[in-house]
Amino acid sequence: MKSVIITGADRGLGLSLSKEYLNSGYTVFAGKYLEDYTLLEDLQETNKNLHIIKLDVDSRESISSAVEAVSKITNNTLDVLISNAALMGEVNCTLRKPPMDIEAVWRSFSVNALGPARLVELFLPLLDNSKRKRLCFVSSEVSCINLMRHRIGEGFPYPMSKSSMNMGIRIMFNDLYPQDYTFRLYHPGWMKRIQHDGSRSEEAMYDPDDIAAHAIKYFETDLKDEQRLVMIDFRSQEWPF
Amino acid sequence: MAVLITKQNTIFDKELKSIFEREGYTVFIAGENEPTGYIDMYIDTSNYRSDKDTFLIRDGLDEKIIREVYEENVLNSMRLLENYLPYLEKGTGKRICFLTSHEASINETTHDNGYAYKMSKAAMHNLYPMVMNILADDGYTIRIYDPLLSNGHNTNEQTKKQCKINNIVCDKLSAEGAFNYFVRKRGTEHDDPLRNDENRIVFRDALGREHTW
Ligand SMILES: NC(=O)c1ccc[n+]([C@@H]2O[C@H](COP(=O)([O-])OP(=O)(O)OC[C@H]3O[C@@H](n4cnc5c(N)ncnc54)[C@H](OP(=O)(O)O)[C@@H]3O)[C@@H](O)[C@H]2O)c1
Repeated sequence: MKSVIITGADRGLGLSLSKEYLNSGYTVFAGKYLEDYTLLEDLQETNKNLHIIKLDVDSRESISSAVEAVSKITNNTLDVLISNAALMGEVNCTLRKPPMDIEAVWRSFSVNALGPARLVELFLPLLDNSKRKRLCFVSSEVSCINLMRHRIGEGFPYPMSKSSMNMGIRIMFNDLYPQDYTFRLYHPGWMKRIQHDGSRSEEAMYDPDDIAAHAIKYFETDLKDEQRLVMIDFRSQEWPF
Repeated sequence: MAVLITKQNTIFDKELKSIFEREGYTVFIAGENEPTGYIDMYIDTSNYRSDKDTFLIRDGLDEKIIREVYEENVLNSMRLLENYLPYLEKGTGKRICFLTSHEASINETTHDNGYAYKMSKAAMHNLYPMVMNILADDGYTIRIYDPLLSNGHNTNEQTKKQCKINNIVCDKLSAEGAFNYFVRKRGTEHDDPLRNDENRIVFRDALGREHTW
């Protein structure tokens, strides 16, 4: 049975991707970060192939424990890694609204950019044992420097972190593509999210379930041009980054 | 005209200071010689690299080095910009300049290491257009420059040796190029917004080449 790990799977796109992968017959390791969310536990009741593992991508110890947990169940292998978790909250960090919360820039970087790289580093021994070797990363159009539309009022940390993440992915790609790894970089579009106050962002355009149904096709299909590192969105459009 | 340079860590930085002085500018250096009233141009020379930034993903990320480089190139850079923006607001030049490297271009880099430097600069590359989206309406312009040097940034023997092999521009020439790139206007024609190069956020190197982000 093929195996996948998905980070930030408590809700939103991560949860929707977990459902899609379960439906596709995978053993799914869903990264649990939010203690007070039980949607994964609900899903587990009807899916014995779902394994919920505590996973904070900002902590090497947490990732190492996750590697151990996965390894025990899969006999030391992993086919697909999906880096989806992200820190997105509102922060006061923009010009002309001093003082900027500069530490927030580091926090975003550490979760959103270093997190995916830590994840790859620590799961590599398991991924090496798989024929699949597929690394998937959920990025965002805010990483597209040429198309930047952020203005005053919108915080700096999140977009900056996504460009750093793309750079980390590029360096990993240069290193690991020659070692038979394949990469997917994905922009999911403006999805309805559960906000920090518990409300759902209804003004957003897309349901994470619909996006996940598209994303899994992109993540799972083998491409004829694996040598190109590109970012694809939910309409299969290519974005510059 | 008054210019503020954030750092004097490298030969390039020092050359740049002396060129601006030679050309009649009043030069302030952050932390050494602080501006009292206004500045027309702000030049952030933060461009820090670590000799230890050579690990591959299989070696394991050196998070201490990553933080050290990020602190200098991103967090400190942002603090400096916030700190000196009020001086720029009072000046008439309203030009902001940064240093980077084509090695930190997501599109161009062919390296399999250098996570600390490249990821830090990629964050800054993302910041530049956001800064301009906020400030451009008030007449601000931006310059991003790749000095094409690594000898200015490091002094250990190995780096010096590498530079002997790779160096194509010496610090002085590179600083002369930076001066011209920083002070000149970029092409505009008949107020046509489609023919206004200031609207494009680009970076050019010491040989005049434009690089992709
Ligand atoms: N929603 C959009 O419109 C949109 C647009 C473009 C790209 N994206 C990308 O799509 C992905 C999924 O977004 P989503 O809308 O599904 O967001 P989401 O519902 O907020 O899911 C992301 C999850 O990651 C968690 N997380 C934060 N820090 C973590 C850590 N250190 N370790 C593990 N998990 C952590 C978040 O918890 P907390 O809530 O506690 O932080 C959250 O539960 C993200 O990578 C995001 O950047 C989303």
